[in-house]
Amino acid sequence: MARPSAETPPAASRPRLPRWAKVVVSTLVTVHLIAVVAPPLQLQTYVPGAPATPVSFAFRTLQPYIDLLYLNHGYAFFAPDPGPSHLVRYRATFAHDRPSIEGVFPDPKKHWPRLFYHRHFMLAEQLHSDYAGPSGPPPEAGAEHAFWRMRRDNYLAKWGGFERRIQALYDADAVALERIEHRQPDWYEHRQYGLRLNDPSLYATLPRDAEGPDLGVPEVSPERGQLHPSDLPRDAGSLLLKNPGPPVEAPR
Amino acid sequence: MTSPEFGPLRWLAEGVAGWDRFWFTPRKPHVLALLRIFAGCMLLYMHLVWALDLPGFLGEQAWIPAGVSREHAARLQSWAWSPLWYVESLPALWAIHIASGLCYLALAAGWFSRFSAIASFAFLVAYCHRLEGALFGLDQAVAMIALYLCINPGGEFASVDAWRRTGSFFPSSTPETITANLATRLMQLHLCIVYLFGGLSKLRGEGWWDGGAIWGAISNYEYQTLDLTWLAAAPWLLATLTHVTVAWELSYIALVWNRWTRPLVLVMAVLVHAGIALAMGMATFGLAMMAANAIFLEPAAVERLLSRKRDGND
Repeated sequence: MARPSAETPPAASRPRLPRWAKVVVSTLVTVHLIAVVAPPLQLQTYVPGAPATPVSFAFRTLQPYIDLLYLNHGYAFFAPDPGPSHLVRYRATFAHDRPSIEGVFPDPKKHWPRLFYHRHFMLAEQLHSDYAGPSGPPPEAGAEHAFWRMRRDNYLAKWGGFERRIQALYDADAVALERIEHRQPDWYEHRQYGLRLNDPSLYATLPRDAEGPDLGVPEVSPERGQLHPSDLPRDAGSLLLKNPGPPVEAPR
Repeated sequence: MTSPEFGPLRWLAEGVAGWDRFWFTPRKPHVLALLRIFAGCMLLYMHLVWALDLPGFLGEQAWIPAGVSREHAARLQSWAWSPLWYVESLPALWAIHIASGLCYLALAAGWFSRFSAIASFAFLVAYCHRLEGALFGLDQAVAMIALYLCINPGGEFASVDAWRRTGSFFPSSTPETITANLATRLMQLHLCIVYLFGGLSKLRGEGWWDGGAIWGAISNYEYQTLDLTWLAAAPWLLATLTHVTVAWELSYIALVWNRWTRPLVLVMAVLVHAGIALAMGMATFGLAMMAANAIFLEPAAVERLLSRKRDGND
């Protein structure tokens, strides 16, 4: 005997909505889907110097809803390319005879389980992606200067937070941080020259503050896939993909 | 009223009928019930991991202090808001953390399913807005699932609610509802958008065109949990995997709706996300995306599977 639960009930007994309710629900789902698609579309279609587009209008109009429901994502996982990793090296020093403590995070030996490691990895990655150099556009640049200032303040605030956290962890008198970039070897370097993934030559120390002009254009971190479209200055569309990042010191 | 027989009016009428079928055909809640259990368990696990260093993530001396997080949102003129921006005392944080953990537990168990789904989503968003800087794709995937469970958490099946109502956790008869269909359709479309933009954004990178991107992913030492660098001996295979990944992401939105191509698309999803989970140390993210793909399963298939199991146990 067929199970009653597996059968479709007669059409008459199935729930139905009145027409006015269908119109209301249809409107709501349409608005919601626009709110889902607007953030990644805004991120991908930003054209330098272009006037407002329907996409930017939709994004701005729905931004309260988008932000409150945590829909503001670019979904750019491992895009545009899987890039290098970024770590944070720290040195906690003490006023008296106690030897200094050095470490790097994320550290798979300390940070377990893997999700705990990954949370620390993202902290280091996103500090890097928030980087904005000390020399931004001049104040006359208006919105660009304001944008750089905002990113610079955010970067320094996070840097300060990391310093205070490590200071508190070790009860240290002072803390020095460095950003480390770890690039991957190319496949032929690995295959032909036997270059290991953790070869010291692949690590570079990035200064806290790089000299030279910096437009403060953010990078999309490898799998964060998330960038607030309002992070972008008006002409950031092409720069987003070309930002060379800060100068790199000679590897240790 | 008779429907028009020819021309644009007929197309319009067919379009309206199709829209009506797509959104308003009642659906059983079995797949949503499975997703509710998954989301509750995953949220609980994520929550336990935050608890390993609650002062470090949320306390007064957090990596990213509450004030920094709040000011960052204000600078962006974001509407994001979190009550956790205003709480830094550890006892209060632990009280909130335990309350939200219990809420996730209730969601997994299906106890006051609708309330626990809405409260779980609210807690999750509050944590995400506060913890900006430590988040990644996992949080986005779980938030997507949790959001649509607010519409229908599948509390009619595999839940304490079902047991209280019928005396069985897995009642043999569960009603079809329009809200179950709305939640399913919205999650399906949201997932299509995720993959579409995952693919489109890759088209802006050289590595996804020249075939080197998969190497870039598997040779990242900080992500690596399974050594696949032996694939360097077969660059053609790396290039093929790279191009197949992009092609799959871009075509997902079209092929997943067809019943003949859907199995292929979903098997690819399992392979890609299992690869990320095993080789790149993101088991949680991989599982969340595989679970999200389950939204394309037919409730009747899940019901049949569970009924067979139940009958076998009997």
